[in-house]
Amino acid sequence: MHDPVGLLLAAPVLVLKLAIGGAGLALIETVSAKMRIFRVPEFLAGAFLLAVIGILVHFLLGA
Amino acid sequence: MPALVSQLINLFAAVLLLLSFALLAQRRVLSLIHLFTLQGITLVASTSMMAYFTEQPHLYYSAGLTFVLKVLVIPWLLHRLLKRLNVRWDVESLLNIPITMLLGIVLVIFAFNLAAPISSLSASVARGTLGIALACVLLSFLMMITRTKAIAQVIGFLAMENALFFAATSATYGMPMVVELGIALDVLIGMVILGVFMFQIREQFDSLDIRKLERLKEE
Repeated sequence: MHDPVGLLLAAPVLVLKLAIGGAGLALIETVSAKMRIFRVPEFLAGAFLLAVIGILVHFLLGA
Repeated sequence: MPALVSQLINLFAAVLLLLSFALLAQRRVLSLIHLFTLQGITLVASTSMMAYFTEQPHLYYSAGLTFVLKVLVIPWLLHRLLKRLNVRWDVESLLNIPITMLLGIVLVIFAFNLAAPISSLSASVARGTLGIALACVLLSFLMMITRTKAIAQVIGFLAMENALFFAATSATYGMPMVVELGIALDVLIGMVILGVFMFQIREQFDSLDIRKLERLKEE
């Protein structure tokens, strides 16, 4: 079922997707207020949240 | 092509969920309004994508209605309200933000499990996103519960309406046009009335803090 053209196309698309996602995350973190020491738990909670939501959505939407 | 469209709808659903969490975690009122506008834009994109894919023209109308109401009119009303109430303060939350986020994760797991059997009954393209819509409704509830300021509660209410709209389009290709028009009008009128309430609350208590309303109790 996996045609070679599709597989060849998938690799750059994946790289592009990761680049867009990473740039977006970096942008959000830089604009979301000054990093203060008592805000660190929030950033950690946010990171944990993103990871868990990623897994859950992956399972829900059935990749 | 269908695979791509359903992937795009899934992407918009995931963005909606992330924006709900961002609303839950945001402290500043102005950013809350911006996030709400972004949520509206996502909703319009996913609805018009669904309309294009299923070739149901009435979904285009409801996408247009959503655009006018939730991307233009209601954010404009909220901005005007903010200017006239002259609020600059941060919204305070009853629980601290990490705990709220962890509670949100629990709600998301609950909603996904709850929606799984329901969505397997549906025949729609986007049935998988029903769980996300339910999770967004519950997250908006959580936002209304944990916020103490009236403006944040109103934005939570509007976000809940967004999520319900998304649930309707994802499970059953949208409600009948009459119902949708009625709901849109209700939300607009509700927004105006809640704005008037905010002025009244501030006049009475010199603050928009809901906790002050507890003084109204009879001894």
